Amino acid sequence: MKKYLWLLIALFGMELLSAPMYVQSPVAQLLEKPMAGSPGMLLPKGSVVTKIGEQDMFIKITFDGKEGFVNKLFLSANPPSGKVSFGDAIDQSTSVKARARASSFTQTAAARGFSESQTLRTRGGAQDYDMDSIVWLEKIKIEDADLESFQK
Amino acid sequence: MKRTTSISLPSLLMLFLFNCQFLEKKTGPKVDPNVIKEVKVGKALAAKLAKKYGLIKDEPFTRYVNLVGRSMAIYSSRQELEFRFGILDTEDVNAFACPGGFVLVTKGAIDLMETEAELASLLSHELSHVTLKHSGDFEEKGASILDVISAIMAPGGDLVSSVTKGAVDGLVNQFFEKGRKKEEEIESDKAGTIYLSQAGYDLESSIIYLKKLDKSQHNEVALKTHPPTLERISELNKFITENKLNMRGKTNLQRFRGEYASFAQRYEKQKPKVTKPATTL
Repeated sequence: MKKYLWLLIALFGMELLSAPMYVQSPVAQLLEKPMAGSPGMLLPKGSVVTKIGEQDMFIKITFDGKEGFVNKLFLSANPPSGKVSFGDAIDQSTSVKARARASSFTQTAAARGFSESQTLRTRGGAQDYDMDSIVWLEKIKIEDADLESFQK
Repeated sequence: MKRTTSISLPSLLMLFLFNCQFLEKKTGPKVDPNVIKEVKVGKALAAKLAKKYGLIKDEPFTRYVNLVGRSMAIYSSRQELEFRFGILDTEDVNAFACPGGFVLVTKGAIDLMETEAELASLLSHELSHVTLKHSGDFEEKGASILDVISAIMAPGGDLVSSVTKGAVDGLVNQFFEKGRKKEEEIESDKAGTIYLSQAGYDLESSIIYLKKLDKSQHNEVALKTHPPTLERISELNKFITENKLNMRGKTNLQRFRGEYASFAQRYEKQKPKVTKPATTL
């Protein structure tokens, strides 16, 4: 019985180690050795590779029958997805909304016998956060063309 | 009030699912819910730092800092994140990497710099903390009722829920007061040189900046939350040599000087008063 248990643990461990990973960077290279200056080949963005180990800043992988190392900065455990940006979805100041919500919540809570300070603590205390500044920061848009001309 | 309390759980769940669908339409398909949570927490943390120090709202210079940061972020594996770089209004020399891609550097740190490559070296270090998920994975472990209620409200309006606040307070304490793990700081130094190298920046600028940080009069918090500077420099040199990275690259000294001088002029005009001293978060 114990023998099978160890076998099960070993198989589970192998399954965890050989996890699929995704090439998310346009400069990911499959390197011969775990070092940035090592010769290698460019991996197509979006490729799925299999992780078989890890060494310092590098992940040992197999891809298309080849074995090698990729810098861990260029691989992700998550498959490619759309960008997460809450700024685009905000049509008015978040802190204004936070204040408005805090106000209605305060009224509800007051009716239940809670003090305003208790309510605000529960909601996170909007006064501790400057959301307006972060919304301002999110409005600074950098287009691909801006970046391209900046890098020249 | 009675109506609010009598909403049944199935109706709440229906609204929650509808909200998720709306969020997906706005942000593109297949966004990992853990990443959404990471962005929420990061945004709240950035807002907390902005409240503490004040965010400098100088659009031309912030745009320039963002261009420097984005020119390296394009190589990151975190393509699902929209990286943002902002400037905090304090003489303290420091920088903060918030989860979800919010990177905030202090004016004090920028004042020490002489080249774009030095700015890039600081941004690349912080960028690496985000890419390497040094703030954790933000796994969804079941939504509380407050999460569900806040999710029903307008997108962006649910940023400071009690759950987010708990995560933010934990991060403030762990990363900005006690400091991250030494290994994570060293790893970010090394990873930062990879970003610098990809973008063609001079790698020695990292070492130049670290030496300036060490000598600065406003480095108390930065030194307290990072490994000893000499050790960081030694590890960096070792990594650059072992990986046969090309030390020489662009510094863009002239461009930095021009951008910084214009910014400093505008800053002095708009804000003649003394900048805020650091207080605890």
